Amino acid sequence: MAKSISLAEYRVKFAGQTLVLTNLSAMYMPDSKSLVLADIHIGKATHFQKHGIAIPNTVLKNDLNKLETLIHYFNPQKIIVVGDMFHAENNLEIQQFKDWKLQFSAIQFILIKGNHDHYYHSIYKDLNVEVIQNELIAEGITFVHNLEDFKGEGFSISGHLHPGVLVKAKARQRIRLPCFAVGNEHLIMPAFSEFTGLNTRLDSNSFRFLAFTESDFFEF
Amino acid sequence: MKNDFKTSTGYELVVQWMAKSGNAPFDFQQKSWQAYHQGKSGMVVAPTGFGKTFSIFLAVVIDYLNHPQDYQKGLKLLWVSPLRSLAKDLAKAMSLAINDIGLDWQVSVRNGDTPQKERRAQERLMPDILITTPETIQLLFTQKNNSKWFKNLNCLVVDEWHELLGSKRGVLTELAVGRLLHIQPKLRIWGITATIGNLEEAAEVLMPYPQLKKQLITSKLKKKIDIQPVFPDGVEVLPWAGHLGRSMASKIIPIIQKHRTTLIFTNTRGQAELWYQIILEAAPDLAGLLAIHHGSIDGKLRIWIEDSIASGQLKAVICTSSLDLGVDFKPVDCVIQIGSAKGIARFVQRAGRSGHSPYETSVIYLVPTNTLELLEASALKQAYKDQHLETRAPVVLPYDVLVQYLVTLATGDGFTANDIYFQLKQTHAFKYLTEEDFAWAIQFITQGGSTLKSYEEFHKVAKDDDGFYRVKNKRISMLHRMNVGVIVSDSMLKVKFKSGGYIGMIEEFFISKLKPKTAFILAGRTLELDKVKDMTVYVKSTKAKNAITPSWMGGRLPLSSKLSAYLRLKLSEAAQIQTKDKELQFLNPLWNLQQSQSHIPKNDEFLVEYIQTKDGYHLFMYPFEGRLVHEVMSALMAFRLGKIKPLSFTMAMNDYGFELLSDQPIPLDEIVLKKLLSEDNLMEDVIGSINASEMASRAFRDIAVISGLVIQSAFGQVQTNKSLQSSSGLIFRVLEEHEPQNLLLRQAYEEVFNQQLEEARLREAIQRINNGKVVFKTLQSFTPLSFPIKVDSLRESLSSEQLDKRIRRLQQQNEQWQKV
Repeated sequence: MAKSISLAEYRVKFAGQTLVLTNLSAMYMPDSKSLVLADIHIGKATHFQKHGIAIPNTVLKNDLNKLETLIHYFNPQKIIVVGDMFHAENNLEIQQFKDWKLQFSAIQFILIKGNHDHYYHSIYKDLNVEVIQNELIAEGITFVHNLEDFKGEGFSISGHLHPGVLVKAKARQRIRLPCFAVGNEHLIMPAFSEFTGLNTRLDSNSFRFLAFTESDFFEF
Repeated sequence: MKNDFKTSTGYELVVQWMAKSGNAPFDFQQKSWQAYHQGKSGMVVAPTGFGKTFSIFLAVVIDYLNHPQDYQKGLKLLWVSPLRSLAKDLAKAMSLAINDIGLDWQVSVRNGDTPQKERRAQERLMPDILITTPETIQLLFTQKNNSKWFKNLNCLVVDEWHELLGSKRGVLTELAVGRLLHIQPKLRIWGITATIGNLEEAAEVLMPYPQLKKQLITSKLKKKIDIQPVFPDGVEVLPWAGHLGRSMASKIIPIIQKHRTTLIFTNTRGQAELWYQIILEAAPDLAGLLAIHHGSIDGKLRIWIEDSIASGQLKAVICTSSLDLGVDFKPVDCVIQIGSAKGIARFVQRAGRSGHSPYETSVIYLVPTNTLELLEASALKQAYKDQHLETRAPVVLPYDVLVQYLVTLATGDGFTANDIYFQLKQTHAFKYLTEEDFAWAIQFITQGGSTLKSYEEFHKVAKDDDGFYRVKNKRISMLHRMNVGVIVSDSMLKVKFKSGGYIGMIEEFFISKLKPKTAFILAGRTLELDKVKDMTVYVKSTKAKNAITPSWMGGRLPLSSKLSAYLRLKLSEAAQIQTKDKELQFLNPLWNLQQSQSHIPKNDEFLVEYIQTKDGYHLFMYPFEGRLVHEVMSALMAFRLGKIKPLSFTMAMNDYGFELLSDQPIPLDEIVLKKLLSEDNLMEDVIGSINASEMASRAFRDIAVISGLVIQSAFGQVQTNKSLQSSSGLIFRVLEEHEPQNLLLRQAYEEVFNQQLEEARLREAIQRINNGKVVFKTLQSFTPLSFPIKVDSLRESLSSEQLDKRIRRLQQQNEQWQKV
């Protein structure tokens, strides 16, 4: 089910750079012309289906549409995925992704391995995805999947936690929104796929939460 | 014929056996033996403690003694009870009787607690009597060739049917009845139930099969209940919920001391924790003799507590509905209900936990947490006198249960579409299942989605060439068996000391709201949250004073509509000067103030109070329909008022009424009120006023688990299924976007309308209000009816210390106004 995508931007200063956060769960780094995202979990719907849980696999189509919009908008040289690009085994959706990716063969795909990415030794090559085991350090920023595994000093960009905020409104209404968690040294990416949950338990003392909807950004 | 029966061998043996222990059969027992003897099915209605078990169990024994040729090897009597905890004692009692009478039958229990080895042994050779639960029967249905176990079954008993009816567990039971009757058409079905408001319907739901000869057997015995309201020292004319807490402790202690063992019922686990502290503070010598029992207490500890009650080692136990049912505790001779019981049936149930044996009187003390609750004591007394108990509405068309059942059958013996559709249509729950909806369910379990899309790697259930639907994949069978059942528990986390040592379980929902270093109370201890890791909450002891008592989800039971009606009646009675009711008399000062300041609504009146204070403009309405309905009604009023003038409101409610608070004047007069309370466009406006999608998403939680969309993982299994973890909210969102025609989504919305919005009850309430007279009062200070609602709303936004101060200030302000 295709829906129109509207892109909202929110600029933040981080590690001496200006980062362009978007409401499509990805962020653009103009200095290095990189698009950064986390936790796409490609193959998740099919993995569930294989186990008898009927999740519609149009989910991946939406995710890829979103990524396509981002690519056309920013025209990045590389795409850095800070972990959990794939969900589980090699399945139909991985093939779907491979076909889709052909149109962007000029873009370098870099994956920092996440906890879900351990099945794929042979197919990363097939997909033309550069795999980095633990962390990637570029321009003073460490890209890592899980902030907890980051033992170094300085700035980091990570994923894994699926940060979100819980907004309480009148009459016991609650709205959950995905967000970027931005601290002085650490930035945590929202999960890219729409088939991912939210974690609203992050420490609000260490992070600003930049939450977004289909059209706008809100700071908490 | 009757005389024949009374001279039969079986009858004589059983009566002789009873006589040995000085018992004679009750009339209703004799009647059920006779009916069973005549080949009938039916339902037995009797109060607890009068040997309901022995009505049908002995009927089967007598029939066997008289006609042994009708009974084959293997399972003869299948006994279904909603309560696991009862099974062991039941099996013991049955075995004892069988041995004494001289039969060589074997009685076994099978449920979640049964060891693997024993289960395998049962599967090789079924016992003569099997005591089990609705879920376990479904699990038996998932085994290959399971029909062979039931082909010689003579009788199926559904015990405590009133507990199952009205829930999805009841639907599982209905489905089991249908299937067993299909396997063995000569099967006799018997339901056993406590008194409820719709007995005829209850029997029909369990046995909608025209080929059964049915008899409803009602015991004439009535349990005597002695209802004792506990009066506070004085009447607070401006009452507020919880306010009487500590001062009532001094009244409770002597009651505990006067009796052997007391069960103290509270409505929420939070209150249970709180009262445990209060009572221990007031009577430190009860330490060690007082225990606390609720759903978050460790299972082993709960069993220990139950054993200790049974052996008389405990003086008192503070509990929630966790002890509403279950084993008869002989030593219990007194029950205390703290706060409102919210329903007549629940009240009777709880009262019956004391004085268990026949002819003994059940004693129940009602302890109000605010003075106004004495009104409820008076209403309950009247309702019990009139024997007006709530009805339990059966669940219809739960698609989640349907999907689960179809996969259950496909995992077991397999099924053909025609046969199963016919069987489903015969049950009460799926009587109105359409062919389209059935086709959707088949599609859902075989293709995964709607007819337009099929998922290539989805092979949950496949249709074989012989037309049978079966599950082929072992892992899918395994996952399904883990998920069978319809009791969906909130995701629970273990609570452990950092230094080691297990304390209990707590809902993830509660912990997710707490920040590290916050203190909270669990199992009577004050604990400080350290961290949450791997489904475990690590804590340490603390002496912190400001500990949060968890308000567990679903803790707020709605007031039943039957009890609401009695409340309005009693209020109406309070408006008259001469009432004989001592509870109402006690509240006289409160009534006087309400009457002089405002008005006491009579049974056909609806009171609206508009109060202006320096906090703003308060609109109070008193439908007396319970919190849930008030929640919807207040949103509705706000929505309709918003159409007249753009205003924003804060809302508050209790079981008696609700408040809308605005910082600007609310344009109210009789014409506006008429519009607000109009029945026109009722549901359209309700939908406009609430976030239906969000409510449906919450209702979807259970549906997702029952239909197998979310794997309910028990501890230890979490790791293996990590890649299949998801939440129902997530799946709801995905389905709403990608597959809006999914019937499970429709069910979620229907559950919201029927259960949360209580559409029928809301409509009835609005009609009642419109048929009566609306009394509109404009005032300058809070009234006895409005005050508790006001306080409840403060409670949500303030810490308890601030709250006390704020309330005192409000009370003082009110006094000043009164003097002016």
